[in-house]
Amino acid sequence: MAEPPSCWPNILSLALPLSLADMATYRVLFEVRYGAGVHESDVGDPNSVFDAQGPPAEQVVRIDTARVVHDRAKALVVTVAGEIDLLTVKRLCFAVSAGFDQLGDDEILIVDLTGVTFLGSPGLQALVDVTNAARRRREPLRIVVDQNRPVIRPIQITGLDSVLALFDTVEHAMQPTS
Amino acid sequence: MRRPLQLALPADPVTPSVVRQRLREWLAAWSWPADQLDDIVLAVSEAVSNSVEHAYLHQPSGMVEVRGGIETTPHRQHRVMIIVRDHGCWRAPPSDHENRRRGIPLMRAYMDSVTIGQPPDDPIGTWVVLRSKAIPLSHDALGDSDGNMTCADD
Repeated sequence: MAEPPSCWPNILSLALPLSLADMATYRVLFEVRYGAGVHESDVGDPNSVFDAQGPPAEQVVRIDTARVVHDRAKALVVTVAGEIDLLTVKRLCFAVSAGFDQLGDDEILIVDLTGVTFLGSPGLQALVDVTNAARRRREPLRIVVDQNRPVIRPIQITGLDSVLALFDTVEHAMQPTS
Repeated sequence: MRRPLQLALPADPVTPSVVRQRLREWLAAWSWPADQLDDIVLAVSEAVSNSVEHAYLHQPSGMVEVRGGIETTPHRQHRVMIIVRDHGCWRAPPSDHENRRRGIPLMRAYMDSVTIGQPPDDPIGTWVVLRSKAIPLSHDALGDSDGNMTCADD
């Protein structure tokens, strides 16, 4: 097969079993696709072609930052809930970066991941990056993960449990370490 | 829902989340056990993320295709086979890119086998063939025998 100069031949190959009318549909879909957002086609069944707008990043992950005081220790806690992936990882980085900027002299920064339901390699890399950034700033950054499988398992598999400062609760993360 | 999974989506940062949602629905229709379901979803998401991030860096953006089916092993167990395919240029993993170095080990840890290569009918594209660990599926989960599909091996 000749080298396709763009993704047009891919669309054609998907549409091969289809009639010319179907191919016209694909052409319209193709144009729509690149006009805005994400649209999905079930290539096996042209009759079921439909738009499936991808969710905006703020629906995939929710990030809240709050000050917490516990046993006279003070912390700024960035609480993350939802999925950390290619789409949302920048929001996590921005939130942690903003947390550093707002950090008081006697506060520590904590990232609470107990509400995270998905953590892929972009999110793992972000955790390494913010941990390294914290070290450069000589600020403590502590990450809260419980036995939530979608979070702890990729961290353990990639060996990052020995790189990241992990705690099982926000309260434990706020206790002074020797 | 018990049809082969077939998705074609633009290589866009939102695509991995759309694929995860569709894949979850598809595996749930097969009553796939929750832990294994999470593993498959993560592995496929990594493969899709790789395509989104790297396939079309040096050319007009194109599509990422995801196809899935259920295979029956000789021991009457079942596994999911997923093919994630793009039509961009395959590039060797760049040494300064940690994401990619973690993504592939994650896929291998979560699946029984992961094969990354070039599809036989496309001299420039890349596909990742992922096979999950084989599990016994209940008769109820399998339902009618014609629902038990084998993914086309092309």
